[in-house]
Amino acid sequence: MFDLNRAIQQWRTALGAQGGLTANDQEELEDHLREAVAELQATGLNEEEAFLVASRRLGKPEDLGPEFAIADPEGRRRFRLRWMVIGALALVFLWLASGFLIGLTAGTMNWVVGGQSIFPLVSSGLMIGVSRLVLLLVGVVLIWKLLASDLSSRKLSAMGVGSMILALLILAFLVLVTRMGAGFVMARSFSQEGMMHWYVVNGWVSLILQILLPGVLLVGLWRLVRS
Amino acid sequence: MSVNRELIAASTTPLVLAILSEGDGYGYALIKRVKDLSGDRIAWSDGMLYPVLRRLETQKLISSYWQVAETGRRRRYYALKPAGLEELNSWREQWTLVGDVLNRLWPKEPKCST
Repeated sequence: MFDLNRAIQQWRTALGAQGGLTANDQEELEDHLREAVAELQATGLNEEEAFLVASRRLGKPEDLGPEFAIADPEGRRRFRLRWMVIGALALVFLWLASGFLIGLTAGTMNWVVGGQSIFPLVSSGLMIGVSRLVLLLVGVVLIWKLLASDLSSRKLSAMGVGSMILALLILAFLVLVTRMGAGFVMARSFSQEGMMHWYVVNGWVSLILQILLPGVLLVGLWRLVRS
Repeated sequence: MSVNRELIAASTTPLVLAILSEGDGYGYALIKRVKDLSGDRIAWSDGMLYPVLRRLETQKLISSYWQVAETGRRRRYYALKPAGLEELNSWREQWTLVGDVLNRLWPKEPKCST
């Protein structure tokens, strides 16, 4: 049995999942949909038929979202912010995952060769750097594909990926600045005691970057999705 | 005969402003008014109007307010602002000019030389 209110509720949920629409925008579109349904019913269509025709005329939620995002600067800002947060989150998780994978690989290798480290420090550093870079590139390409399949508008998927890359650059800059700050502290106190101090600072910086940052980003994303 | 898409897109703003100059209105009513006036030949895709309204509001040409409609639901109404009226008059001059030029050319039977 077709339930009009439920169908409209589902339609509105799909609408809310789009980036560019405020609650008021959604309410306005729902009012339009309900009026169109009522008018179509008056011409003899049943509830289900009227809903199908009216929602088709109004447009699919995944097409309406980008239209709103392009038309309204506020929506565009929200849309950009959303993808910046998603991009930053993706980076942090990729970073953690790559660290875990590299550690696992190195650990397995050491276990295989019997507790001996087979890579000199420099080349293992290079390996870690290159593999992380490759992982990040793969991640960006994957997100690009995902966005392009999800969003009907080419312009918007470019905007989404652009925002993400901007977020990555900002994050990289932040990491650089905090690390340099820690390096500065280390250089100022280059005694044995100072080295201990440096390890403590370094530990705190890592903790903030690896635990707090994803947490903050997750909260931000949740608030954005809810708004 | 249906109207060319680009012409529809170009005329959307002056149409919205002109209808609102007759009095405040809401999205669904605006779409219906255009359909009626054009004898169903200017058919906006319904969803496309709302982003346009949003843009006009950001440009401060129109304003919006909520009011409970006869259906019992809240409805968003739009009103023309002074800047919108100015914009409408400018559109009106431009469209009149284009129409006048075309009308001067069209009384002669159009033909091509090849």
